[in-house]
Amino acid sequence: MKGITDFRLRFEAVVLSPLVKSSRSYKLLVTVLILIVLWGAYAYSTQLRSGLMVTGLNDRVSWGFYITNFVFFVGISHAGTLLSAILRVTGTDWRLPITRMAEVITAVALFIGALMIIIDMGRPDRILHLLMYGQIRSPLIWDLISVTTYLIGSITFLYIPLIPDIALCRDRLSGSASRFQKWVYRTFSLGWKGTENQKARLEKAMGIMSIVIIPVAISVHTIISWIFAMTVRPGWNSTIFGPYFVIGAIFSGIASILIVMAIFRKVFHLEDYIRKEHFEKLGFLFLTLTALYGYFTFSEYLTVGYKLEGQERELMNLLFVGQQAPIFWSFVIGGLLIPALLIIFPRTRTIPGLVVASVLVNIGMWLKRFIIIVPTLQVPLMPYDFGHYSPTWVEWSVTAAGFAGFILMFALFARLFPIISIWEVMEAHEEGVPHANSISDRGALRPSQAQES
Amino acid sequence: MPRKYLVPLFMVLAVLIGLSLEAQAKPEFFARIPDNYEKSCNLCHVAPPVLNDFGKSFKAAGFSFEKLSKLQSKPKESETTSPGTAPKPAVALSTILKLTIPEKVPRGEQVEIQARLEDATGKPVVGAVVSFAAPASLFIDGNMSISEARTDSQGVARVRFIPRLEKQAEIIAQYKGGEGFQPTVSRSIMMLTGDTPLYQTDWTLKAPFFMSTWLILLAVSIVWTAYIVTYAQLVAIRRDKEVVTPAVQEADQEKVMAQ
Repeated sequence: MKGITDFRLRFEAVVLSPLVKSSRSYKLLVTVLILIVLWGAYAYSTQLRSGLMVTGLNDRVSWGFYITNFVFFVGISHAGTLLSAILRVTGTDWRLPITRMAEVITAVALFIGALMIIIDMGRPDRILHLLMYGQIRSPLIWDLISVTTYLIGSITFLYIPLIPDIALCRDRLSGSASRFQKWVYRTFSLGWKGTENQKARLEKAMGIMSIVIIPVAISVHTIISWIFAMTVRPGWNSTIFGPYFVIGAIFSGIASILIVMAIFRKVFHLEDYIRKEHFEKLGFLFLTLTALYGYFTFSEYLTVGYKLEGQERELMNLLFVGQQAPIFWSFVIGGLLIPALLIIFPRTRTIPGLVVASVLVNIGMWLKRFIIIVPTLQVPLMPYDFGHYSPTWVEWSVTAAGFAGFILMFALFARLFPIISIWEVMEAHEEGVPHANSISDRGALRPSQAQES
Repeated sequence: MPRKYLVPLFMVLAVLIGLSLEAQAKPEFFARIPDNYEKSCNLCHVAPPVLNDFGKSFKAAGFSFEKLSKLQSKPKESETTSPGTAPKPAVALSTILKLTIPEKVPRGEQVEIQARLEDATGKPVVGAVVSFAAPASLFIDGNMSISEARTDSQGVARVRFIPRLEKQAEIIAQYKGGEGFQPTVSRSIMMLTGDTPLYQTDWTLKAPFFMSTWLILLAVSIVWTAYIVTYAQLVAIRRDKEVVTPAVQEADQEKVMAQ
């Protein structure tokens, strides 16, 4: 009993401490991020005033950075679905200390991704046309429905397991939290008292969402792939785009989780709770998905390159040896081969090694989305010149603001709410579940040992 | 939300709305467009806000159609009418455009459309550019340009056209004015014959009856029903009145220890 209490006190102190005070470097980080976001807002205002002519988009290449960002961010949103939902349904308990980070990635990434679509529209008010004149047969309407449903579902899925921890913050931090924090905790704790009825309701809600969010997440990225695959353009007219995009999304999602885990582990001193075994387990999952994604990529380009139907020859030349070759080969080597090598060998399968691999994968996957979208649009469908695309300062600024906004929202979340699910880890700890909470060997006692003492 | 956040929030919203409105066409210009001009963004823009030649002229004329007509009515050497015509009048003469189209046209066959341009006295206007268009609906509604032609010595401009619509097609002939003449527009309806449409809509895939768009709606309904059931649990959590006493808490902890 004493062991559990000691563990709980130490655990809560570590996890709740960032909510009470923020360091100078945190404030500096938030300030820099806000400035980048504001600069991006200014760039967007320029686009609103002058039209899309201030971007590099044109009548030939009408999709560029913004759509690349959209596909990328929706891709990494699969992190939460995989770790939180799938592993919850399969009863995998080592996920417990990292589920919340994954769920936050999902919600925030989806929000930024959806914003990129609106930014891509020269006239954002015309999004209402999708509601007024939309045809249910159009993949764009499917996309609107699925992304909206997934966004609401992921926010719900983030919030539900957060309720007991919000109540904990309400009770523990009443003396040290700011007025705003107290209001947030009071409002969003829903009067949580930990009664049997409330726990039963919470479990039921989590159970429903865990099951529902999985097909929704798979459908989102499948439908996004169909926006491309339902056309007859070279490079897009593919039957495997659905699973290809889903695997790619999970792949980049895991890379994002690894980066976030490493950062929070270091910054918030969570070494006792997010241990090397978490990185190792995710690392093997990461390696599996690297192999899968490499297999899909190889299969896609082999079947296209073998037949060279229509304009596929021009597209393949553009990618392999043409204007887009540096980006394509950067993705293959930097985004697939090097990360795979880093994970395969035990000497490099360390936390820093996994983080480096994850960063390379995320950069590689952004480049991959770019070379899926832009080169296809460059290839002319009639005897004509190739299209050109050169992003302007507006697009670079908005892209930077998107990434800054993602990090900023994460940082603000971590300032308001515990980044580890305290109640779930404590529950597993009290049940004595092995590895569920990664108790340090020099840490607290298990219940049986506590009884002996 | 505390009041102190409301003012900056409204200011930000006002700026964003203002910026988006700024990007849109100014409605006052639409009101000034004379009846014989095309009332659409295409009159002045290639694609808003990029101006076409007419838009640039309109802007140079201080956004005044009257001044623009005067500027365009300045005589040019190359467009002088044939010998024998009356000297250029100081005031622009009104014109009449008579559109001649066959009564019944087989759909899909080429026809000739004629438009005779004459002034108020009935004399033909020679060498004037007449543009022909037909209203079309393709994502947006507008006039699809058929062609342009110059009037001959009889004041007649001719173009060839293949109608592809069903039942009827509206033809619009327009003279934009100039050389001492006022602009004018003429419209006429061309009746089309032939029952067979030029394109056929057909199901490319014959699927069982249950494979239809309602499946999408069903799937979405199931998901949202699950969401609603989930939210009902949250409402129940909020409404729970049970109180956890310290005695109950200790009993719970003893249960955990016994396990």
